[in-house]
Amino acid sequence: MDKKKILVVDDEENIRILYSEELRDEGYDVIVASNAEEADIKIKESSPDLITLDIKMPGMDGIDFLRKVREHDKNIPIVMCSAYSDYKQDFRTWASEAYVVKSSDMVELKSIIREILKKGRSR
Amino acid sequence: MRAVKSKSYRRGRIADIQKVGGENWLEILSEVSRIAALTLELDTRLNLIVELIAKQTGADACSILLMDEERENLILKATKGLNSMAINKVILKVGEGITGLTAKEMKVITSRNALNDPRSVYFPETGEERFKSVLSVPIVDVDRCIGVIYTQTINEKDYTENDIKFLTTIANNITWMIKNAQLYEKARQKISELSILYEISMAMQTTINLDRLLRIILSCITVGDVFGFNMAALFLVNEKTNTLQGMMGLGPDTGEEAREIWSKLPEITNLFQWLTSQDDVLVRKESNFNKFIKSIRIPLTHDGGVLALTVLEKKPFNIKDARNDPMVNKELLEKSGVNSFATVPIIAKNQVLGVIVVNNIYTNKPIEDEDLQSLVRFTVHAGWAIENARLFSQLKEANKEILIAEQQLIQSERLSALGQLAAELAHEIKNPLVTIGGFARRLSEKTGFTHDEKKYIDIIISEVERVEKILKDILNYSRVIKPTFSDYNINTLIEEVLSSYEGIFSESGIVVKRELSDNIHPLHIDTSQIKQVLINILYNASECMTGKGGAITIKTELLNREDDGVTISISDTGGGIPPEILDNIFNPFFTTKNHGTGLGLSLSKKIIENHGGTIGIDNRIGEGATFIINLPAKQDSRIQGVKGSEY
Repeated sequence: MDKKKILVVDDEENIRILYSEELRDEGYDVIVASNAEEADIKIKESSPDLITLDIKMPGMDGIDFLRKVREHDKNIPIVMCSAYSDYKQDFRTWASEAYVVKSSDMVELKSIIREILKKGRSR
Repeated sequence: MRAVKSKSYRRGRIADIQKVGGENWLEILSEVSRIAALTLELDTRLNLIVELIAKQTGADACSILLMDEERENLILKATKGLNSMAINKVILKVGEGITGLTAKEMKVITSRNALNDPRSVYFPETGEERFKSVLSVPIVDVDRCIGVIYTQTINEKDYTENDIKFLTTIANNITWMIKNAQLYEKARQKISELSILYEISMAMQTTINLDRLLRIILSCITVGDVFGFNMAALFLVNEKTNTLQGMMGLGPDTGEEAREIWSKLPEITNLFQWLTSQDDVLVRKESNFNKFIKSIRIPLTHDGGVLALTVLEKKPFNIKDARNDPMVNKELLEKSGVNSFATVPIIAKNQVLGVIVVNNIYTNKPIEDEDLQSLVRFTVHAGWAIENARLFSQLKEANKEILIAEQQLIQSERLSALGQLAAELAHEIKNPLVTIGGFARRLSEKTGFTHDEKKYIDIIISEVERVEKILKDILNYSRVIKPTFSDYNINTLIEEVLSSYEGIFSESGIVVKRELSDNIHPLHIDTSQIKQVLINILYNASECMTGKGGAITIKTELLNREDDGVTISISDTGGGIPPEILDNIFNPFFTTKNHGTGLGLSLSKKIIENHGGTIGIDNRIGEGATFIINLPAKQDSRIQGVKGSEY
């Protein structure tokens, strides 16, 4: 069975490393992008099965990028990952599959990703 | 023409005098004129005249009686030959005695033997029994009698027409002298009063402090040189309660004290200086009279007694026999023990501000209407000064309120700014914290670490967790935390908390005492939130006893009624909370510790309030503090319906 591919989009390098390692340990292929522009290229190049998307980023932020992705792809699962919990109430984030507040304990994020990928592309 | 007429008039008068008495009389009249030029003082003028007449006529006594203002009595004002002690003491009614009759009928009366004359009235204090004959002449001003001049002789004498004419001429010539002197006296009194009023006004303008102003006003009324009343009290109208409120009473509590104070009073040479410099010479705030006055509240109704009437009718009252006066409130009369007093309204801008009450309880000097009139004139000035002071005080109060509101605004803006800053900071810290904690967790899953290395990694993980929890608190603080309610026994919850913390407390020498009521029924609460509150307060209590040990007493009891809920009190023996920080203790981000967010107690308060309860502190400096939490048995539907964001 092919490994599922996850694109981690975050401007913080250490977060990218942590997420990559944790998700690889979970058995996923992980590719990373440090901003929206780079993420756009990676999506086109690699067609990931799921994207974890930070919100506060230099240049285009996560919310605008989410809208941009949804213009072309209604189905790709996107998990918003932010230090802010407030955007959970922001309707613009509702187009994502899930919203996770960043924590050093990644149990919640991993469990959500597992759940989403198990269901498959439902959109 | 006038000059010619005047000259001929004078010539006629001189001719008359010469006709009756020869040249000697001219000398006497010229002497009278000289006296008039000598002095304006009435008493001196009269004394010189009686002396001159007695000497020149060979009479054994010459005296002058003057009519009082009411034109009812004649008063002995000057004498040569009678006992001078009787001056101002001998008072006889118009029509009484030979002189009284002279005044009444405005005609000359002679009596060869006055001792046997039925018209005579004798005053023993004058020593006039030794005089037999009397010649009594009215002093007439146009058509009214202003006094009587009379001569007496020890031996019986038949008065000649010349004698009568001579004294009548003298009487006619001294009329204007008396009138002049009386006018002068009145003017002098007015000037003196005006000058006193001026000084008092100046003194009153030196302050806008109401208390001090009232003291100056009452001092004026009681000091001897001004009004000299024995006691004075001041009442002000309280518009809110429609009552007259006792503000200050000034005067000695006993006659003995009165004598002592008055004997010690220095002679006041400069009233203004005295009024503005003296504070406590006469005023003793603790005096019984002052306390009595301050305790008085009189309803401003027509049955409120004479003080209320003074306000309602805007006029003064002179009460001469309080016991038999239906206007006087009998209860106040009993308490004050004063039978005669006067009241004067204090008026400014046509509104009655209050009432001044005066009495002469120690000297028993009757309060004359003239005294009252002076007091009325004085209260006009006092009224304006009080009005100014009141306006100033209102202005000060308004300024104070503005200042407090401003400070509150600054405080809330400061807190809001601080809150935003904290939230920003929390987010900035979060990313590095996630990576530190995340990698530490990854490390801890790896093998091959020594026991110590594993311990260090675990410390990093738990400390990161703690910081993450603090950040969560900070971010949570700005939101209404939606409680999840369930019925739970508060005693059980307390035991659960203590089971985790009692061991730690005992290591620090802190004993936990329980006084948990058995009658407690379950409360409708969010157990995890209330647990957090209990932990916060217990943690605080233990911290103030660190290093010295002590006791924490946790007590539960029913509120007044069963359905009212439960009171939980947590007491420590940590010496209490310093008063200067007590007001801030529930403020967010306020902390006296080197560690911590200052959110623990603030969050606890918010949680308790979200449960519809209250939290307060009973602070005992030097002993300890007790946090008192009241929780209702059931939750208000509004509180349950609060929409909050989950974290």
